[in-house]
Amino acid sequence: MKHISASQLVMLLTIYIYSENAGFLISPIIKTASYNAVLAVILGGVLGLLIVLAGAAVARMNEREYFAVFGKYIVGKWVHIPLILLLAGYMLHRASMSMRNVEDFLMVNHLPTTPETVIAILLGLTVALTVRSGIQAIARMAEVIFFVNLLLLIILTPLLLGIELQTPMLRAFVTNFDLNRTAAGTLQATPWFGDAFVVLFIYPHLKQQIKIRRVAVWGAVFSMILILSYLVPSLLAFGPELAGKMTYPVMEYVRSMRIADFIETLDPFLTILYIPALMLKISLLVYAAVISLARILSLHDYKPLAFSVSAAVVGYSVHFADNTAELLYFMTAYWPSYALCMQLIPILYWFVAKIRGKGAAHPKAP
Amino acid sequence: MAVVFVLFLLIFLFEYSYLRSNKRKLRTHLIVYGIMLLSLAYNLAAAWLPKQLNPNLIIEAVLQK
Repeated sequence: MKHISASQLVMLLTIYIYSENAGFLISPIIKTASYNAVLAVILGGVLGLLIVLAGAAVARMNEREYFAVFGKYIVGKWVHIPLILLLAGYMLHRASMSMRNVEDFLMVNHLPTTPETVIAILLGLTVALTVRSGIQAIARMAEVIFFVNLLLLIILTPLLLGIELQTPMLRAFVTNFDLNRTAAGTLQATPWFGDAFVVLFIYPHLKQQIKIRRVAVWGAVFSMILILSYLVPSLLAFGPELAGKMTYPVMEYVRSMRIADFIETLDPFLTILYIPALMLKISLLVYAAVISLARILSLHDYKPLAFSVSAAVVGYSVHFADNTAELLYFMTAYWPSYALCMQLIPILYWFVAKIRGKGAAHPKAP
Repeated sequence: MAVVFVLFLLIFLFEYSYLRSNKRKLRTHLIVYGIMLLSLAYNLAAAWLPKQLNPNLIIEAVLQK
């Protein structure tokens, strides 16, 4: 079995958590939490980390086997199969939502006359080929994307500071505290980080001596820093009212920068950051779903399922919502509760395993 | 619809040659084609009735209760 090292996993988790949230979920959280968005992201990060750690604790109960296989020893076959199908369905739903976000983003900003179906098929083909390449390829992609992100962040940050930011607004992050808005924002931000529970499904691919808690904490901290590096300047540039009404506030912010005559705007750089990172996230979600399906169907080779499952994700993404406004409404109103319900399922396994005692995650000796 | 059929035909040919070249069992062939058929059925149904067959409606209905 090919193994992923601790540093690779930190980079993978960082890119996986921050990519879509920094790109497309900034506006909904600003709308919900206003100035409390920063606090909500930090609290959401901590709560999401607890979900990930619970998932990792379940995975550590049987380090050599996939969760899709050993879960049945904990809760029984007839409870485990519906639950694993629900989890696989959630991961495919999440992948479709992310893919729809990319499609809308490309259509609005770069490919306005291209049919959505064509964009979706091309993205689906990329995802299917990445999934077929395996987890090692996904981890190596994450390494490259992480360093490109870091480089662009270092280059772009001084330029971002050149824009007229309303720095006195920083005071409002502390003075405008509102418990209801913070709680609503935290509810929205928790599943962003809780999504990293996907490590539960790829655990046998990690090196055995890996310190999963430390890796998860660093992944959450790095992604939090990256998300806040987009969220805070957007708030300071536009204020909560205007930023909450924009679909892509970060894009608008970067577009308003002029650094030289030979570069009209800097938004292509942002696209360079977003698209590969999102493709990585979608690929990891589809990989986790495909490998779980393959294991419950007792298939040792998951690869022949990659194209079929990616095709379902493509179809779902196209029919996910009628327009961007409907998609944003779903992501704000329904998705956080749905995601939390699904992300808490591994905790159910953890409780049952604790009640059943040591060896609950292993087959009974004949 | 025609695009969906053409794409799935390509997927079928690709996976068939992959499974043949790797000398997989009949059971593996059946499972792979079964999943492929499910995916095709979902894509066709979603193209035919996009509003009624959107799984988001189930999520919204459950969470509204």
